Amino acid sequence: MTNPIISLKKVWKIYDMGDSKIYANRNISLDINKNEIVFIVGKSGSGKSTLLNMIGSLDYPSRGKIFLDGINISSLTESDLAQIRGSKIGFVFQSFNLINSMTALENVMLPMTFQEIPVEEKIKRAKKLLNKVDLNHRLNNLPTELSGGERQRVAVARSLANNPEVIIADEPTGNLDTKTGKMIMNLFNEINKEGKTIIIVTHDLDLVKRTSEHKIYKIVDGEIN
Amino acid sequence: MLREYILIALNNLKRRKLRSWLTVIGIVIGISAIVSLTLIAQGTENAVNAAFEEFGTDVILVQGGTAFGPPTPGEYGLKNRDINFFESFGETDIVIPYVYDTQEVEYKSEKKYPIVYAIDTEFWAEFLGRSNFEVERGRNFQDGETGSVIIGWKLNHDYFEKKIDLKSRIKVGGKTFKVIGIYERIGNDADDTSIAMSIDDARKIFAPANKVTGAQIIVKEGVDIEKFAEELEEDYEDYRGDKNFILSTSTAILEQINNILGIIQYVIVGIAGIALIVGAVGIANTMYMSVLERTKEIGIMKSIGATNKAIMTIFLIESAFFGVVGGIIGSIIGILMALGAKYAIEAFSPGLPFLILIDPYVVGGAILFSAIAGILSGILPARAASKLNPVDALRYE
Repeated sequence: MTNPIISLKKVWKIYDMGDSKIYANRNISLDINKNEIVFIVGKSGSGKSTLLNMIGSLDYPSRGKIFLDGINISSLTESDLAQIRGSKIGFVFQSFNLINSMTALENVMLPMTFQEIPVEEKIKRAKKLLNKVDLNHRLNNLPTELSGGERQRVAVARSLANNPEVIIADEPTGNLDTKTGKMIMNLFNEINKEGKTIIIVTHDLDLVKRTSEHKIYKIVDGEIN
Repeated sequence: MLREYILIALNNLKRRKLRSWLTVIGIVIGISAIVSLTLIAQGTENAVNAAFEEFGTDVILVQGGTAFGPPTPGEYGLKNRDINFFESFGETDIVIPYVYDTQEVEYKSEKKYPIVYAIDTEFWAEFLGRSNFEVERGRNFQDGETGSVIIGWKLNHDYFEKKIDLKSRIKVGGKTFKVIGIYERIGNDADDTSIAMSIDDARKIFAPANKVTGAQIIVKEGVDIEKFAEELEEDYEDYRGDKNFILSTSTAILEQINNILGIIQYVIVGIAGIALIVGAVGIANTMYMSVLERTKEIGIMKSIGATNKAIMTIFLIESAFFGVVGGIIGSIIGILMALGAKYAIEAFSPGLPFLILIDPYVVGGAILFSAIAGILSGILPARAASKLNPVDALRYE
C-alpha cells in the first residue's frame, strides 16, 4: 500500500455568521498519493476552493485533521505552517497572483528568499525554472509587460521554486484562452512526470478529460460526492 | 536574509515615491528643528562661557546699592574705606574700583546721554584684558593720563549726526576731552555707545570724591574663589553693618546663566519634539495605507511561504527607512540652519564668539532617535500586516 502524501480525516470547515452557521466543507476524508494528478471539481460555491485552501495549509479546518507528508498540519502554528507551505507546497492561482513591482525573475526568486536560500543559488534556480517554462527571454520583464499565458507560466515556475512535493492549482486555466490553457495543462503533466503531486481545482471538465491518468473528486454542497 | 528584505522594502518605497518623500519631509521638519535648536543653544552656551573665560574665574564683583538689585547708573554704593577693606582682606591681589553714570555728551552742538565708565588708569590694562572691549584704533590710556577718552564703536559711526573720530574733541559733563581710542564693535548699543575715562576725571565732573559704584576684586592665584567670596561676604557685611550690596563671582553667575540656558534648551527642543511626533504619526498613517493597498500582495507572499515575522520585518524596514532618511536629511538641514543662525548672530554682534560645534552626539542622537521613532510608528501597521489571514488577504481586491 502506498503512503498518501496528503490525507484528510473527517475535515469540516464551518463559518460562524452570528445567528447562522455556514458549512463550507462537511466531513471530508480523502487520501492523495504521491505523484498523482487529482482534480477537485464542482460548481462555484460548492466549497472546492475552501477545501483547497485547507489542503494547501492556507487555512485551518474547523474539525478533523489534515496530514501532509505525515505531519498533522491542522495543529501547527501559523509560522510553522508558513514554513511548510513555502517548502512543500507550490501554488498556482487563477489570477496568477504575481507581484507586479517585481520582474519575472524576482517573482520566481521570492519563495526562495523566504526559505533563506543564498542569492547565487536563487538566481541560478529561478533562471533554470523560467527556462523550463520557455521564458528565458522574459526574465527582466514586469508581469504587466507579459501576456496572460506568460504570467501563468511565471506562476508555475514560481510554484516550483523550492522544489515542493505538491503543486496546488486553483482554476489555473480560468483566465486563459483554450490554447494557452492547454499549454499550461501540458506543463502540469510534464511536472507530474517528474514526480510531483498535482492538485487542481476546476469547473472545466474538458480540462479533466484531456488529462490521461487522474483521480477526480466531485464536491457538491461541501461534501464529496 | 535581512539584505533581501531591505531590497524588497526599498522596492516598495520606490513604487510610491511621492508619498514616501512626503512622509520623509514630515520627519525632516522635526529633526531639523531639533538639531538646529540644540546646536544654537549649545552655541549660545559656548558664547557665554567664552565671555566669562575672558572675564576670568578669579574675579569677585562687588556692587553697592539697594538690597534688591544691581546699582543703577549714578548710584555710588561703595565708600573709599570699603575699597581699603577689600584691599587688606586675605588673599586679595588687586582691587579695581569703578564708577559709571549717564552723562551729557556734546559734539558739534548735538547732545546725547550715553553711559560713561571710569576706572583708575593704573589698572587699565588689567580691566581691559577682562572685558569684551578692545581698542581697535588709537591707543589705550597711559598711567595717570587725564583729559582723554576712549569711545565706543557707534560714536565713531552714526550715534551723533557727525562722526566722532580720533583726535576729535568732545564735551562730557561740560568739560572738553580728546578722543585717543576707539573700541571695536561689541554688538550691543549700551557698550557700543559707552565712553571710558580716568576715575580722576570722572571725580572732577560727576563722581563723588569718596565713593564708587562697584569694584572688581581679583584674588591671588590658586585661591578657592567660592570659599574666599563666602568669607568676604560675611566679614564685609559685619564691617558695613548692612546688606545693601551684591557680591558675585563669575563662576556663580556662569552657573546661573547655564542653568537658565539649559532650561530654555529643554523647552525649545521639547517643542521641536512635537514636530517630530507629528512626523511619526505621518509615518504610521503612510504605513497603514500601505498595508491596506498591499493586502493582496501580503496574501501572495504568505501563500509562497512568508512567515508573519518576515512580513513584519519588511514593513518595519520601510518605516525605519522613513526615520533614518528623514533623520539624515533633517540633521544636514539642521546643521545648515544653525550655521545660518551663527552668521546672522555674528553679523549683528561681531564681538560675540558664537561657536557652533557640530556635535557628533547631537547629530548621531538625532538620527538614532528618528530611526527609533520610525520603527515605533511602524510597529502597529506592520503587526496588522503580519496578522492578515492569507485566505482573506488573497481574496482582497
